[in-house]
Amino acid sequence: MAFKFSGTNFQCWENFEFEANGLTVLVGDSNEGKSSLSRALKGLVRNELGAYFIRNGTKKMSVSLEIDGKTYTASRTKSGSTKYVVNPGEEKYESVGTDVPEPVQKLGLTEIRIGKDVFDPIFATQGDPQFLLQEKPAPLNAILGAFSSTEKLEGGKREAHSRTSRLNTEAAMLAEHLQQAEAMKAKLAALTERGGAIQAAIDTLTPVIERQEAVIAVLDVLITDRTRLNQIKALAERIVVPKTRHLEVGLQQVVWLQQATTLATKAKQLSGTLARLPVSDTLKLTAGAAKAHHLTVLIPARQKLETGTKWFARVETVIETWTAIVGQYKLVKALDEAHTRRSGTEAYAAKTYTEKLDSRLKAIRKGLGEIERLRQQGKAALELEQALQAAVKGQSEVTTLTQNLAATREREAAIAQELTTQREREYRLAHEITCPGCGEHFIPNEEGEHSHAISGNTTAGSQAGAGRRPVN
Amino acid sequence: MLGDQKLAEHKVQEAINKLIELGVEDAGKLTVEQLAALRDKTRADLITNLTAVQGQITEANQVLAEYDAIAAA
Repeated sequence: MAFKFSGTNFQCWENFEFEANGLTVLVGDSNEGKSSLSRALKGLVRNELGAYFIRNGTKKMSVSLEIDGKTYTASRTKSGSTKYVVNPGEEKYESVGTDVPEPVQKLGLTEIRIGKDVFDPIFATQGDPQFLLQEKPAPLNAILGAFSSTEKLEGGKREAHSRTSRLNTEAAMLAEHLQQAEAMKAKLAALTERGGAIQAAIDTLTPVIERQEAVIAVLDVLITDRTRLNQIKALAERIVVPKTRHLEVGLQQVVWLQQATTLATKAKQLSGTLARLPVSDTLKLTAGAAKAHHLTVLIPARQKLETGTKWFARVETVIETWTAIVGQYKLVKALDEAHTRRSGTEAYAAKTYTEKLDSRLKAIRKGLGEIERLRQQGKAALELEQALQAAVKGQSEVTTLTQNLAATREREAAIAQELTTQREREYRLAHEITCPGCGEHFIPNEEGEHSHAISGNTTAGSQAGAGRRPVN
Repeated sequence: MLGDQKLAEHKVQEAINKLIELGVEDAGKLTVEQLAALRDKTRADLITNLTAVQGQITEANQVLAEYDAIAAA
């Protein structure tokens, strides 16, 4: 049997290597290491490598035995236990304690146990008794009894051979199975590696995909909302809200304007009626009085008209602005409704938007019609102003006529007074006589007497005709 | 209308914050057109990644079939 035995840092050996084939005898002087080699081999096969075997100045030792195509290596450090490796890289025994690994036991270099006695036929050291020859009777009898029968030995040999053959067959089958298992193991390892790579790829892509899906979803919402916000902002910038107070005042002026228009119409009708009447002082006086009466109504109306005309342009602007605002507000509402009702298609939203836009344009056209109506009312108001001017002019003429008539009447009264005075003078001249007593001119009374205011005496008629003088 | 504007502004800011959390740092500076372009690009990338995942799943099914075949043997 050939074997190779080697070691590192064992006792005095830094390195040693020893090969043997068949019976081999070591010969050498004392302290050359013969016993050390024996202890190294025994330490390997019996797990008896103490820490004190480690070479001084080193921390780890190891010994190896190559036999029957296998290598058995034992190593240890000062503080650790012995570790075994069978065929480097294949089988490791790192926690064996004081046991001998099974592959090492199968080398057959163990002690022999017979009953309660233990014998070592492999290793003997200096000073040991010779094997069997110096055993005590009891153990010697036990050993000899165990091997006393040749038949028993032959039977044991046959049994051992049979067992060996069966075990070899089983080993061959197991080797084949092992080979198949190794092949399957290799395939599974390859598949596992592929599966791991696939899993890693999917694990890498999954968060990226989740993020991209989330980004797209948020972008959809953001684009929709920002588009709508831009539309609202654009409309908001275009809308200018006028002051409500101006609108209220303007609407009140419109009411006044309508009232003034009605009064102007009546004044115009009255002016026409007066123009058709025949002209005479009396009738003019009557018509003038009627005009004056109506003018007391018309003058306040004219004041309202003037104010209303001034406000009209402002009201028109306000109405126009608010009409536009109504249209814009409707457009905003249309956008809101289109956004709310959108069914996911831009075409639907566009159709709804167009319909609402048409509605807005219709509302604006209606507002423009209303403005045109108010403008016509304003035109009527202007005609009213012209009629009022004519009426005022007529009032002036009536006043002149009235003044002329009064002057004429005064003149007639003066003439009548003058005639009366003249007639009284003529009558006085015709009837006046001179008082013969006092020489005063007087007109005699029915009794023909003359009364003296100073003396209180009355002169007799004999004095009549005396002292007559012409009337001045 | 003011109320609608405020609501729309709130929704827009909320969406921008989410995008920033998702790594689109300049979301608040992009116009609607740029946002639409970003969405289209992200969608294209997503399709590419989904295709890659689909390929990995197909290969994974092949691996599983081979596992089953080995287990049956």
